[in-house]
Amino acid sequence: MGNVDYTEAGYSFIFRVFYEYFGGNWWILLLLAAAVIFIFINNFDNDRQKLGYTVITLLLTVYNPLFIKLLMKVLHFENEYYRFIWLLPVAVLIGCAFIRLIEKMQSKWVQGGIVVVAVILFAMTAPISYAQDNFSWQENIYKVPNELIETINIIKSDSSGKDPTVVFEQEYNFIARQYDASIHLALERNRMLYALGSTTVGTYSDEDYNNQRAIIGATMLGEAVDVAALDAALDYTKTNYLVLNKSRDLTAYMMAAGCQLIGETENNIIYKYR
Amino acid sequence: MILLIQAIFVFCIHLYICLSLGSLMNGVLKCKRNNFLQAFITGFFIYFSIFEIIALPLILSKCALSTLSVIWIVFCILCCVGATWLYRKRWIKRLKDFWRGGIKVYWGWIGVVCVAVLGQLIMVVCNQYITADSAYYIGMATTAVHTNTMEIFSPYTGQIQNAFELRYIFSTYPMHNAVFSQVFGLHPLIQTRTVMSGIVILMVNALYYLIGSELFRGDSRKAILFVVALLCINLSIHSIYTNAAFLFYRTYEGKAIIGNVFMSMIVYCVILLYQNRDDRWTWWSLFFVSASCVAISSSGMFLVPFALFAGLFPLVLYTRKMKIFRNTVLVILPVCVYFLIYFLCSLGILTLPAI
Repeated sequence: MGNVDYTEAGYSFIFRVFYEYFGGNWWILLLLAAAVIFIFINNFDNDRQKLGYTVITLLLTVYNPLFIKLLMKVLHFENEYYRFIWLLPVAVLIGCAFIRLIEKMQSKWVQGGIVVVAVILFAMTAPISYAQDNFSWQENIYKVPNELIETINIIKSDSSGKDPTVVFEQEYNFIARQYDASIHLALERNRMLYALGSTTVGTYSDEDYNNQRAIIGATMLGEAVDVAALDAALDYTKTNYLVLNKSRDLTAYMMAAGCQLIGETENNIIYKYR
Repeated sequence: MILLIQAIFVFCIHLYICLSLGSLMNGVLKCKRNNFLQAFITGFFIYFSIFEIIALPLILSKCALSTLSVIWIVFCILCCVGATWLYRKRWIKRLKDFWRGGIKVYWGWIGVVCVAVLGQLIMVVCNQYITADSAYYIGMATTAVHTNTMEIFSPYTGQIQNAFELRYIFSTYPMHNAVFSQVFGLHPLIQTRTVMSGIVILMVNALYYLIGSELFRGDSRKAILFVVALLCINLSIHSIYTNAAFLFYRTYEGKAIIGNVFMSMIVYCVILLYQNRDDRWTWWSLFFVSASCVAISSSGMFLVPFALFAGLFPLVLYTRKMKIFRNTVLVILPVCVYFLIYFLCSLGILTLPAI
C-alpha cells in the first residue's frame, strides 16, 4: 500500500489503511462492526470467547496507533502493514453473525427475508463485474499469452541454442522467464517498475539502472534518447533481441541503433541487436 | 490434454501425501481424530514444516535441486506407504461412514458446496491474469528447474545472483514447486498456478466448513450455508489488498496461503481450544502452523506470531492456567526462532553463505 505514508499520516495511519484496504467502502467496516457487536451482545454458544476476544486483542495491539508507532520504528514496513488486517477474520465474523441472525428468527418468512436482503446487498456490490476486471480466460494451460509463446519460439529458432538476452515490454518482461527460463532479461523487474513510476520497489541510480532506464525511455516511454546512447545501453546490457509493440513504429530508429527486424507477431515486432 | 491429466494426477498425489502425514501425526502423537478433512489440513502444515527443515540447509549449501528432489520424494513415498499400511482400514471405514451419514443424508447440501467450490476452482485455475510479483514466485521455480540449482540465479534476469536474497531465502515454497515440477516433468507454471492453486482453494473451503461445523455444533447444513456466505462476502470486498483478493487472483503466491489458509486455521484452532483447552491435536496443529509458515512466505514470519498471540493470549487470561501459557509459548516458539535468525541476518550479526 504505497499511497499511505506513515510519517505523513501519523496516528490516522491505521484508519487510512483500513479505508484503502476495504476499497473505500465504509459500509463493509460498518457491517463488520455491526457483526462484532451482534456477536458480543447475543453470545450464542460462547461466540464472544471463540471470536470476539481475538478482535479485542487485535484492537489493543496491532490496530492500536501507539503500538503501530513502536512497530514501525523496529520493522519499517508501512507498505506491507495492510497485511495485518488479514489477522482479522472479517468474513468469518460477518458470516457467523448472518447465520446467527437467521437462527434467532423464529418465522420462516423473516428468515427468508433476511436471506433476500443479503442476496440484494451482495448483488449491489457487483461481484461479477469486479471479478471480470481481474479475470481473463486462459489461452493455454500455461496461462501465458499464445503470442508470447510464438515470440519466444521465433527468438529461440534464431538464436540457435544460445540463451538469448531479451528486452520485453512490461507485461511480457514479468512472464517470459516464468514460461521459459532459458530466456535472459535485459531489464530487471524492480528497476523496470521503478522506471515506470512505482514507489514500492526501492530507488535506483546505479549504472545498471541508468542503462536500463535509457532502453525503457527510448522504447516504451517515447522519450527522445540519442541513438548512440541507446546503442551503448543495449551493448552494456548485452541485449540480443528486443520485442516491441507495433503501435510505436520505431523500426527506423531501431535500425539506426544497430538492430535488424527478424520477425513479427500480431502485436509485436522482434528486432535482433548486432 | 495429457498435461491436464498429469496436473490432476499430481494434484491427487499432493492430497494423498497431506492425508498420509495428517494421519501419521494422529497415530504417532496419539491424537484422537478420525476426520479426513482435519487429517488433510494438518498434513499440509506438517508437510511444509518438514520441507523447510530439509530444504533450507540444502539451499544454503548450494546443493543441486535434484538432490532435494530425491530426498523429498523418498520421504514422501515412505510416508504414504507407511500411512496406507497402518491406516487403510480406518480410512475405508471412514469413507463408508461418510457415504452413509454424509452423502446419502445431505446430498443436496453437498451439491451446493460442490458447486461453490467448483466455481472457485474454475475462477482461480482458469485465470490468466497475473501480477508483477509472480515474476519472483513462479520465475524462481522455473529458473531452479532449468538450471538444476536453488536460489543461485536471479528469477528476474537469469543472471547469477551476488548473494542469497535474505527477504526470500527462508521461504522454500518456490523450491517445493520446483521439486514437484522436476520429479513429475510438469511445467512450474502448471504446478504453481493449477495444482497448488487448486489445493489452496480446497484447503480454504475445508477450513471454512470446519469452522462452521464448530460454531454451529456440527450442523452440516448451517456449516455449508456458512461456506457459501463466506464465499459471497469474500467476493463482495473489492480491493487488491484483501486476503480474498489474494485468494482469488494471486493464489499462486505464498502470501495468499498465509492470508487465507494459515489465518483460517488459527481461527479454527482457537475455536476448538475454547471448547477443549487440552486437546492435543489442536495444540500440535498450531505448532505445525507456526513451524511451517516461514516455508510458505516470509510474511508469515511477521503475521503468524501476531495471529497466534491474538488468538491464544485471551485464552491464557481466560483460563489462567500455567499449562495453557506454556503451550502458547511452545506453539509460538518455532516461528520466533526463524524470525530471530532473520533479524540477526538483517543486522549483519549472522551472515548467509556467499554464492
